[in-house]
Amino acid sequence: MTDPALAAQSNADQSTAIPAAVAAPRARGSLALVWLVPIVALLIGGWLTLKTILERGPTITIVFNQAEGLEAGKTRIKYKNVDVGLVSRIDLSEDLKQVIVTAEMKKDFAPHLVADTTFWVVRARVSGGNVQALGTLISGAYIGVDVGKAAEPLQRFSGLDVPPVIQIDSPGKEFTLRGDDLGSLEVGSPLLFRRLPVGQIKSHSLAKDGSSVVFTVFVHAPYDRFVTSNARFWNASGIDLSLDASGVKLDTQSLASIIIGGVAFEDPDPQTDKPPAETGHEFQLYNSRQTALKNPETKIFKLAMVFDESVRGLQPGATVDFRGIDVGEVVALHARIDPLSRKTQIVVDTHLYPDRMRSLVRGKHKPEASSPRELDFLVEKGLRARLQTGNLLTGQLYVTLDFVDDAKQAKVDWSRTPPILPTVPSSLQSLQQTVASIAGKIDRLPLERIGNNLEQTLASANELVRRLDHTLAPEAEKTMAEARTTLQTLEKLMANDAPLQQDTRTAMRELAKAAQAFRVLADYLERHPEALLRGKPEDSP
Amino acid sequence: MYRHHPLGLERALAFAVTALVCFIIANAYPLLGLEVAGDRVEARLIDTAWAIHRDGMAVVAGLLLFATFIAPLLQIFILLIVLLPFHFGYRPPLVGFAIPLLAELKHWSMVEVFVLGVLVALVKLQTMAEVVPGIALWAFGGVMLSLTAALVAFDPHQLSVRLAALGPGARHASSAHPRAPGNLSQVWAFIIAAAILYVPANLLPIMTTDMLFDRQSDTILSGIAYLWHSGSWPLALIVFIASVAVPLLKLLALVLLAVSVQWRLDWDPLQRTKLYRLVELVGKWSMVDIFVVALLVTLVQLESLATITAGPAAMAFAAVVVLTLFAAISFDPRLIWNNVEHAND
Repeated sequence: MTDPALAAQSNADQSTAIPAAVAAPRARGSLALVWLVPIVALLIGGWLTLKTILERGPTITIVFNQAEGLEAGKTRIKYKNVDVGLVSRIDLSEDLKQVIVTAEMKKDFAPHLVADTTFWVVRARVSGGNVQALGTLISGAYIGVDVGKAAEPLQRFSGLDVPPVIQIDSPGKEFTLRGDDLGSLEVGSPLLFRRLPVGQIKSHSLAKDGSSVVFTVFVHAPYDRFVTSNARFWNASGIDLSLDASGVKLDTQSLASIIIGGVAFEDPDPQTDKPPAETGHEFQLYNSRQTALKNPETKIFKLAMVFDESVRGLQPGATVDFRGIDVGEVVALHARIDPLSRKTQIVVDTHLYPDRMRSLVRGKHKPEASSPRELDFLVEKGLRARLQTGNLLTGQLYVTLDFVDDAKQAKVDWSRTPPILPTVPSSLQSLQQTVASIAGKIDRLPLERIGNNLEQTLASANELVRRLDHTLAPEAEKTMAEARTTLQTLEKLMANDAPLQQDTRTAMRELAKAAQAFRVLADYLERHPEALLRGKPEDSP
Repeated sequence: MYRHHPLGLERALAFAVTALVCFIIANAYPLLGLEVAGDRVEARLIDTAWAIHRDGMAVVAGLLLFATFIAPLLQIFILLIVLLPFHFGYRPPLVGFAIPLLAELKHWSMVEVFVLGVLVALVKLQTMAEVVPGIALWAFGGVMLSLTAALVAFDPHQLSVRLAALGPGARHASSAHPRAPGNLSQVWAFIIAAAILYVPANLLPIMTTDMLFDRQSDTILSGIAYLWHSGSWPLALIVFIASVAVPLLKLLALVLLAVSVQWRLDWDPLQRTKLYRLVELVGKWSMVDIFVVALLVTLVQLESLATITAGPAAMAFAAVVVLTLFAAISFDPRLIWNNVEHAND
């Protein structure tokens, strides 16, 4: 207990005894060595701090609609599956409608945080024909990023709900399609060229005025050069089953597009060497390949036809043909009552394409088929419209234009818009008329009287038969019995052992003997004709 | 008995500054990182306390935070508060309060135990996934070494002598405090409480592992058995010694000491004092199991793959460690010599 105190005391004595100046040099050297330790520690600490500060990248905020699978301090931000940042905070926006994710990005990624850089949450997703990011089921979701090309930097981004289909830096071109409706298309649906997937639908939206749906499609290089300005796009979703005058038609693209939909494109005239379309070029999206590949009609000549007969089986879109050549189509059908004759008529509005007809009318000055003069001339020559059955099975009708020789004189009614082309009843209708006239003739026959006479005749015949039955039948029965007796007697006579038979046989035998004797006599006489005179010599041989 | 280095106090100051720098680094950076399937989890010291708190054991979390953060920080601050003014020739404030507190904190500052815990967790996790030791692990090693060096170099007696040389002032009371009479009953209370809690600490699960299709609850012993069977027997041995043998032997030793004092047994007092010193020394090393569980709970949070949560035994076990520490502290080793003095009388 006392030892340390004593020692301390002696130490204190010592320190007071020895002059400070003597001890200083030794102490200074040792002191410097000891202080090296905290200096090294400070250096390391300073270096670490400096490194952290230097490596600290920008802090950004991303706004999402929901934070499913995201976790502060754990969820990474990855570009091409390489870590480029870490989510540090997740907050709700003030109106509770959105989730604000704060993330610390790596420093070397800072130049890529520009206006069109996009962020989205990568989580396991099964949609359309593909399964994505199954690995995130185990590792948890992460935020994917696609680097934009814009120049101006940005700190606040709005995250996408679905991952973008095409990465910004993928080579290829983007085009705009304008279609009537969305059909079964969705983001990611394939774009097919000769049934080969060459791109995808990037996005779709309703046009501002609501009149159409605008699609953004991306065609990967090198296929983008097949998209010429003349290319036609059509919705290749599912099965296109059409029934028209030419029969049943089934058109499909690949099996995948049957299920998930898709858009196909084709250049209807691939021979010509057209330059590829520019990025952003707008195309019409047709509903079927057939409509897409039709030549776009630049000139339309509207013409109406009035029919007295039923137009069941005639639909808008039905063809108008001229001796088998498609020259137009039916656009509308409506019924009207003729104010003069008070007859109900069916008016068929058609669109004729004069460009197709021009080839029909060849002349020195190549007259326009649609010019009134030319049409009047044709009608005068007997050009008439007629309904024709295209398909007996389905009863589809189409309109045919043809020259009818025995047609009644008629003229184009130019007073109306559209002008009215005279018509003749269809061949089916004339057939019906013939059948009707035959039926009328049959109807006029005195069938009732004939029937009555026939009945009387039959009645007398019946009477006659009955009389015969009463008188003739007993007589006949008797005759028959007698006949049977006669026959029996005859049979007895003819029997083998019948006396008649025996007698006959004996008689026949006698007759044979007689004949023999006669033959002997004859022979003898032949050899000895003298015997007739001399008689038979006695025992001469 | 005391080493008298003329520059001991300067050296203590230098190491205290080093310890502070290391301490700041140790708390700012992650201790361990765990990488599984592209997912990375990192744990800082504060995260481990938070993870334990999340599992519903705020008391254990507080203990962990106290032993690894508050106590070492206080030690460093006391050293700096006392030594810095002194170094520049001023009278340091609060010396009379700070020096006894520094001695008391020695029992509770467990940086070295925590470093062992991090190493055990690292080895344990390596079978599961890729574990990356963080900067903080090395920094904690630095805190451990520099703090120990500073405490060894810091000599309160030299300080009091040098302070006396500075001029008159409130002299640090170096006189011994009297032997408290109620001391032994307090020791008994702590021992009995610890012994009772020792039972649930070993029977209840200390942690629960939720695997993809499996849920596994581990007690301390089954965890050791698992380690043994999986081939890492050195680790099994360390965990067994630290978690099972040390608390048990500590309890037995305390009981032995208390009994010997109670019944005034005639047994070599020097040996008994050595036994007491040993108990005091190894007492805090039992905390290693709590630290390992805290680290595992923090790191193994892998969504559906595997999740570890702390079980109720962690609380009981922490209580056993704390109670035996209290028992050892409240046991006055001079009581051992009382008998001798009485016998001599």
